[in-house]
Amino acid sequence: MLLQTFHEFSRHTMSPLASICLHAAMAGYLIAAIIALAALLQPARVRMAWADGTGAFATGSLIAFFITRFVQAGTEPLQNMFEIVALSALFLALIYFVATRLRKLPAVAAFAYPAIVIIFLVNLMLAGSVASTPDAPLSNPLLVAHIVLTILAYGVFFMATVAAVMFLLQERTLKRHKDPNFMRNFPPLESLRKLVNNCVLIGLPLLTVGFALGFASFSADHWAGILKNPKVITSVVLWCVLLSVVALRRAGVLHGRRHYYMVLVGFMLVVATYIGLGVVTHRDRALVPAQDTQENPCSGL
Amino acid sequence: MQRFVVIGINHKFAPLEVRERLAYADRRIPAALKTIRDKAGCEEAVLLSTCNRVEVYAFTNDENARNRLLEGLAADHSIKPEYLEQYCYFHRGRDAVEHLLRVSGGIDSLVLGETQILSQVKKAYLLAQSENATGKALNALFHRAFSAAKRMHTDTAIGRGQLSVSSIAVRFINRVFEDLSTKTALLIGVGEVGELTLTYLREAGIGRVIVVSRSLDRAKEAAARFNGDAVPYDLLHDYLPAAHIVISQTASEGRILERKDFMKSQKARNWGSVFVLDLAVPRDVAEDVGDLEGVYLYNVDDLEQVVAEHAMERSRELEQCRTIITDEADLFLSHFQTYSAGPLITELRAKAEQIKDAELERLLARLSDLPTDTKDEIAGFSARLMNKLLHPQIQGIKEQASKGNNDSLRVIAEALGVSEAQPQDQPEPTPAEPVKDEA
Repeated sequence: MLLQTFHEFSRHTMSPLASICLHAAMAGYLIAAIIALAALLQPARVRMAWADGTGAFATGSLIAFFITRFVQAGTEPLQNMFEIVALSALFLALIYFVATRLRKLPAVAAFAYPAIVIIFLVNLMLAGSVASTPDAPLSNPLLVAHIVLTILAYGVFFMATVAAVMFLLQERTLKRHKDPNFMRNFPPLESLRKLVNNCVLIGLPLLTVGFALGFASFSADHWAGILKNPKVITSVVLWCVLLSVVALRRAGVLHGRRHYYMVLVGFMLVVATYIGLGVVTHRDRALVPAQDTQENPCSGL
Repeated sequence: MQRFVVIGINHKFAPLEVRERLAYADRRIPAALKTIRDKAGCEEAVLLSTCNRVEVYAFTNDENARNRLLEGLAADHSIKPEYLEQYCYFHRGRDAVEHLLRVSGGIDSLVLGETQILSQVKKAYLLAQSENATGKALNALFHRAFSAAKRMHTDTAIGRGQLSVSSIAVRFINRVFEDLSTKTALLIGVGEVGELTLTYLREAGIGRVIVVSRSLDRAKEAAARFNGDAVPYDLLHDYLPAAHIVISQTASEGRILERKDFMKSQKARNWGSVFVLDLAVPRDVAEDVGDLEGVYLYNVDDLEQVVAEHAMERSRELEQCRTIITDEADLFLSHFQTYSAGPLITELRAKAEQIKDAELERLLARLSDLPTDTKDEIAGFSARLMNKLLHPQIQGIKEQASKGNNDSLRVIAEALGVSEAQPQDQPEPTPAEPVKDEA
C-alpha cells in the first residue's frame, strides 16, 4: 500500500526521469543495506566495499534526482515533506562518504545504509499527504536557507546517532568481555567517540543558524501561533538538548555512556519533529483549502 | 600403570577465587613438593602451578592416593579437604597419562592449542627434578608428554592462527583505541605474558612504555627491551593517570590497585578510556574497578568467552590431536611396561635361550648325519617352541609390572629360577626448548 501511494505521488509530482532516479536510489540503498549487514555478519564471504559501491550508485541517483527536480521545479522540493526527508537522507549519505574517507570506519556502513532505508520507509508514509496539495512557491531566501541548513544539520545528527548506537554496542560488549563475530569490524571506541563529537560540534552551529534564519523569516502572524506548533517546540527542545550535550561535555559533567544516550535522545526529538511536522501539515491541509495556502515557514522545516 | 596419578584444579572446574587460593608462587613449590610427598607417600611428584591450573602428578603405590594427595594439598593451604574436593579432579593410570599429554599439548588450556603451557609444564618438571622429586617413571612420562606436544603442534593445525592470552588482550585493546602511537602502556611487575603483550603492542605501534617494578633494576632491564622508562614502584599512583593501557602482573598476594586509585586517575584524565589487563593470580586490581566509567578491566578468566569461539573454529583439529594422544599414551604405556619389566624378561629369555641352545646342540650332535636343511628346521622349531612357551609368562610379567606388583614379580622370578633384576636407570633426556616463566 505504501509503495502504491508512493508511485502515485511520484507520478503526480515529478518527471519520469526524476522518478526513475528516485526509484533507483531507493532500491540501491536497500540493496546496499542488505549487503552491508551481510558483510558485518559474514566478513569472510561478503565485502563491505560492495555495499559502498552500491551505496555510491544510489547516492549518485539521488543527486541526479534532486538536480532534475531543482532544474524543473525551482524550490518546490523544499516545500514538501517527502523531498525534504529525502534530502536529509542524501546529506546523511554524503556525510557518511566524507567521514569514511577521512577516517577508517569499516562497519559504519552496516548502520548508515539501514538508517537511510528507514528514512525512506518513513518517507513512504508521508508521500500521500503531499501528493495533492502543493504549497505556494518559496520566495523568501531566508526561509530557503533555513530549510537547507536544518536538513543538513539533521543529516549530521543522523550520522552522530548511527555512531552513538555503535559506540554503545561496542562499549557494552567490551564491558561484558565479549568478542562477537559481527563486532570484529566495528571501529574502535575512540574513533566512534570522535565521530559523535565532531558531528555534534558541526551539527549544532548548522542547526542554530538554521533556526535563527527560520525565526528571522517569521512574520508577526506566525509569531502569534508559534507556541501552538509542535514542530517549533520540539525543534527548540532538540536545540537545547544538543547545546546541553556540548556544554556539559565541555564542563566535564557529562561523560561516558550518558553522553551517547543524550545524543540518542536528541535523535528521537528529530524523529518527533518530523512526525510533528507531518501531523501539523496534514491538519493544516485538511482545514485550509489549497488555493488559500500561504508561504508558511512551518510547512517546510 | 595404575601408579601414575594426577590430582588438581583448573579453569574448567574451579573459579578464579579458588585457583587464587591454591596457586603456588615459584619459591613455595620446593617446600610444597616435600610436604605433598611426605603426606601422600609418593615416590615421585611434580607440582604444576599456573594461573589456570594447580596439579600434582605423582607416581605412587598407594591405593588411597587420591585422599592422601587431597589432604596434602589442603593442609598446605590450611583449608579443609572437603572444600577442595568439590573443585578437584583425580585421574589414575592411563587417564592420568592422557591428562598430562592433553595439558602439555594445550588441548586442556583456556586458549586451545596454546604453546605457553608446554613451557610451564617443562618448568614445573625441571623444578621437581632439581628437588630430586622425580624418578624414572615421571621422567619417562614427562618426556613422552613433551614429544607428544611437539607432534600435536607440528602434525596438526591446532596451534595455527591461535590466539594467546596476550594477542587476545591486544585485540580488545584495538577495539578501544584508534591510534596506539599516541598511547602509553604501563607495565606493573615483570613477567612473560605481560612482556609478550607489550611486544604485540610495540608491533601495533604503542607510543610510550613505562615499567614499574618493586625491583628498579628489573624494571630498567624490561624498559630497555621496549625503549621505555623505568619507574620506582613508589611512584606507581603518580603515573597511573598517564597510562591508557595498564598491564599488571605482580606476585603480590593482595590487591595493589583499588577502585579509589582509578577513580582519582579517571577524574584526572576526564573519564577517558583505560584498558586494564590484570594477568596476576592472585589478582592485582580490585574487581569493582571494572564498573568505573571508561575502565575496561580484564583478567585471565574474562578471556574464556573469546577462547571458546576460537576453540570452536579449531575443534576440527581436536580429533587428530586426540588420536595422537591415544597413540602416544599407547606407546608410552607399552614402553614403560617393557622398560620396567625389561631386565626380568631379558634374563628369562636369556636363560631359556641358554637351555634351548644346550639341548639343541646335544640333539644335533646325536643326529649329525641329518642334512643341513633338516638341522635348520629343527633349530627353527626349537626357537618357535621356546617363544610360544615364554609368551604367557612374559605377558604375565608385563601385567604385574604395569600394576606395580613388585612382590608378584619377585615370586615369578623365584618360580622361574631367575634373579629379580631392577630396571636400569634411563639417561635423562634434556628438554628441547628453554623453559620460560609461567603466567
